[in-house]
Amino acid sequence: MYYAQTRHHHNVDSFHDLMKAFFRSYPEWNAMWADEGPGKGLKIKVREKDVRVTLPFPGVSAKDFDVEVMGDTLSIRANRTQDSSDENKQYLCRERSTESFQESVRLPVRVNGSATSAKYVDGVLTLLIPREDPEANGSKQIKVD
Amino acid sequence: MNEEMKKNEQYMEVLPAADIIDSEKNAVISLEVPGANAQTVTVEVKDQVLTMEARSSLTYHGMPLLYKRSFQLSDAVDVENISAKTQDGILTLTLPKSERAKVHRIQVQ
Repeated sequence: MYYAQTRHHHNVDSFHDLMKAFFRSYPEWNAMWADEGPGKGLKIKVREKDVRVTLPFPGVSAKDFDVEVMGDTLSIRANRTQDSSDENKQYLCRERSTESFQESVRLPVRVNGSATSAKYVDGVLTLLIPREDPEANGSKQIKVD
Repeated sequence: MNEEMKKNEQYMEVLPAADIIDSEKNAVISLEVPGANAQTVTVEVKDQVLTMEARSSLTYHGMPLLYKRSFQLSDAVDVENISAKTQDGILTLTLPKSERAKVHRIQVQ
C-alpha cells in the first residue's frame, strides 16, 4: 500500500561501540561509525565568550535530559521513554531510533558550568556554557626579572 | 525571481528517518526533522505522490539542512483529509483511509 525506502540500520552492540570509539579519533575515515552525518550527533563549538553545544534528539521532552557539567567535563544523557502500547502497533516501516543517548566529553577550554543555560526547541537540545574568565581564576602574569 | 533565489541558496538535502504505522482507520507517518517547525515545513500531494520538505536550523559544513522525502500513495488514501503537525522535531502526517479501503464487517444472518 505504501512504498517507503528502508535504510540500513546497524544494531548497537559492543562491536559498534568499539568502532565508534575508534573512528572518533579519525572522523574523516568513516563518518558512519562516528555518527557525524548531517543532523546527527553532538556538536561542540567554542566561541569567544561561551561554548555552544547542540544535540539533535527529536521526539522527547525537556525532562528526558540529564545534563551535568563537572569541571571541564560535560555529560549528557537523553532518555527515550518506551511507549508501552508499541507492541500492538502494526509498523509498515520502522526507521526512527529508539536508542537513548549518553556521552561524556572533556571540553577544550575552562568553563563556568554553574551558569550553563539549556533549552530544548524543535527537537534540538542547545547548551550555552560560559567560558571562565582567566583572571577570575586567580591566574596572574608573573614578570621575570 | 523567487525561484532563482531558491536555486542560489545551498542546502544539504537529508532523507529523514520515518516510522509508518498502519491502523484500521488511517496510516500515520512520523518523520524525524530536528530543527524544523510548522513555519518551515511544507507538505504537498501531487499525482498521488506526497512530498514533505522541512528546512532545519541545523547546519552541516555551514549549509542548512533540508529534510526531504516522498511517498507514493495508493488510491486507498483520502487525500483531501491528510493532516500534518510538528512537535519536538517530529513531523506527524495522518493519512485517513478512504471509505473503500476501510474494513467493512458484514453481518451474517
